[in-house]
Amino acid sequence: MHGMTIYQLEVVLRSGRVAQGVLLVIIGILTVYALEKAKRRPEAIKVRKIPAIDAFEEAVGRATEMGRPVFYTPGMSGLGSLTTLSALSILDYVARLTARYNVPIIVANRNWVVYQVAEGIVKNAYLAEGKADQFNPEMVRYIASWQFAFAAGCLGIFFRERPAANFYMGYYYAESLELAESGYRIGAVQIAGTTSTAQLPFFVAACDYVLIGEELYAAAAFLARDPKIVGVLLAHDLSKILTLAIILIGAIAITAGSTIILDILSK
Amino acid sequence: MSTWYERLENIDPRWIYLLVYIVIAIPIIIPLPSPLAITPYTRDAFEAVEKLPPGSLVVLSFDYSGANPELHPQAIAVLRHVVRRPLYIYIVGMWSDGPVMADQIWKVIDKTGYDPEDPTKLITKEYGKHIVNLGYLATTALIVGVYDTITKMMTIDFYGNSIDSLPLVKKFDGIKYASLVISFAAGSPGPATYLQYWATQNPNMKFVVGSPGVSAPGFMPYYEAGKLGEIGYVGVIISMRGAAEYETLLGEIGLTGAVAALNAQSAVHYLLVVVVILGNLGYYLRKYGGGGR
Amino acid sequence: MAISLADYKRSIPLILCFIFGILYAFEWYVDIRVGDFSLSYYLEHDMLNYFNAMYSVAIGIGAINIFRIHYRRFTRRRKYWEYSLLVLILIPVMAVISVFGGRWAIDPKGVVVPRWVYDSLAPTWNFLYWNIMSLISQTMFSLLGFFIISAGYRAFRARNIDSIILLISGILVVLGQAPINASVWPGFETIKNWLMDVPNVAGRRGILLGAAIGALAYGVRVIFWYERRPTLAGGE
Repeated sequence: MHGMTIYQLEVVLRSGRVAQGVLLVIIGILTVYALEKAKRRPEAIKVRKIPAIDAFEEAVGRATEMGRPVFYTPGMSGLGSLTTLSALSILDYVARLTARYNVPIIVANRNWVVYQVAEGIVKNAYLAEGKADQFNPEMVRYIASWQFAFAAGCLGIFFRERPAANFYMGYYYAESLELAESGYRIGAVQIAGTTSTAQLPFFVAACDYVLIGEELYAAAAFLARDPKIVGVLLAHDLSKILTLAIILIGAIAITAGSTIILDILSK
Repeated sequence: MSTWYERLENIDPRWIYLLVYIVIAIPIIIPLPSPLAITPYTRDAFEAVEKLPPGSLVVLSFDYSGANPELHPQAIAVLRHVVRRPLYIYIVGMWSDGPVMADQIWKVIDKTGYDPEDPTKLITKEYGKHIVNLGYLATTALIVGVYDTITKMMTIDFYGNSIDSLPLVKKFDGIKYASLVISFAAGSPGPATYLQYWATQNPNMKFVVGSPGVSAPGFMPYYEAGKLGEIGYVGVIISMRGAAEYETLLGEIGLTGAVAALNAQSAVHYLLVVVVILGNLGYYLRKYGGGGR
Repeated sequence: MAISLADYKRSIPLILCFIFGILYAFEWYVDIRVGDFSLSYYLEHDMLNYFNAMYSVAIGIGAINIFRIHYRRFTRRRKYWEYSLLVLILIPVMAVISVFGGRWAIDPKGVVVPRWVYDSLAPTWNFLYWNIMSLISQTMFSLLGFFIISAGYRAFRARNIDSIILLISGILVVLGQAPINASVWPGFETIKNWLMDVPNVAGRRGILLGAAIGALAYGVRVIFWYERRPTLAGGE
């Protein structure tokens, strides 16, 4: 027919990503398998204790006894970062604790979109605990987007409002030590959790408990105390075993002079 | 009444802050020469620029804000190096202040260098012809887009000049023509963004990172990969020390002031070791000498 | 995990999260092209522009929060109300000066202000930005130097074998990093380089690997609704 253009549908595998995609699918299947297995038989999965997770309730209890607020910050990254999402999941737990124990919470945010989600989370947490009337929008604050303006704002909160328990969950940059050290100076018990390898040493030095790397993601599930969520931890470990197996086989292959694993992974 | 070793274990931090202040101030006020060993990370970064063929395009990405004391000296030394060599330069930044910092350096730096078209001839590098400041790459879309074409993604450069009027942009309309990308990265967004969006499209493009001291260990796995020819960094300039080493390799001592600051840095390193030892001394004396727990 | 149209406030965010999660994961590996249209290009470029627009508008809500908190503090004369008054005055002043005298005031892609307005306000903006904001930022950054020493003094106590190893390796790295030490004994540099290149890189790779896999598994949980708190802002 005149004037009619027929377009052909092309499905193109993007180069250099096929192996990644296959691994992603395998890890996704392992994750779903682990979650379903845990749903059916959670008692079959043994989990090691993470001291930092047990300390959450202790820290909020301490704040209650001292009559001082709890301070929480979900990190410096935006909503696109999984670390921030995990920190927001943990915020839900901490906010429920503060609602239950009638202790005020201050949530300081660097990112304005994260602030809005955090406000919703804290509000819903108070609602879930039947303490909707105690929720005050001033509990959740957007401080500033500039890194050190945010740090200065948090330091101001520490020295004015003297929180007794500080939670630093999420991704941090240089301000991590400022927050942690100042928190120590005001006598707060501090629990940190981050995947930032550059800031972990500072948190380990200045905080009482630290969730390192993947423990942050696991904590979000752990704190919900949902028995089937141990499947999350199983999913992590199965994925790690797969990755370690590939690394080991690849290391042996390379040592033997074969680049087969490298070639497959670079497809 | 506390004993002297209990006081040693619990020194008021304000005394420590005062000591830090004094220990940093004295070497700055009384500058002394400092012996310096060049690390392989800085040498590799230097060689990555030094070995570029004449006429190559280099992209400098200023990904920090304010006069960052670790990255700014690095940026000064590297910019002077690329200006001195017969190369073309694009300046970009993933932080809004980055191109501003580049402008501040460009205003005062010695612009003498070798002509990219005739490497034996010494000229004064001109803006627009040998170097262009493309400005802030505000969005991921822009970072991805300028790889293919600059003229379709931007209308003006950092100074407000029309992008189509710049001879360098007419010559290289896209970051894809670059041989080397050097990112001075304070955090995120940082060089990993370039590895993700540019390196994956052109494995021959080399990357160097200028990093603060705390972030440097995080770049090491990528440096190891880069050395093997995989996607990664071929050089890492670490902290102010890296800037001083670069300045030394460049042969223009005094360019960044990093060498003078290193004495202060060394002094405060020693102070850290001393206070840690004092704290442990107090702890052990209390525990084993004073009958404490 | 029931999704129902009646409960649309809960269902729509979950459905969108699922669709976009799967779509973006899919397009990273597979491109669908019809004529000039490329799904990957569209999702990585044009869609991101929409997200950036939404993101930029949302800052208004953050600003409202700041004003609300500081206004209350000022009107109720709570402790340090004077600083709240400063915030209430300075934020709009800086915002107006930045819009009319900041670097992007003459960018033809945005709203262009008359040149005479820009020329008269730009020096003020430069002063406020470089002589106040930037310097305060650097001051805050420099506090780290003091805090590192006091944190190191307090935290590095050799209480058990782990902390003894940490202490010794930390001291060796610090000594190796001090530039002068290369002339005292070159061995410091060698030991430091080995510690940084071998155990440090190994440890970091381990943490990076674990964190990356944890992130992947967490992402799967969010997309498949096992973890709903971030998507529903706390609601179940």
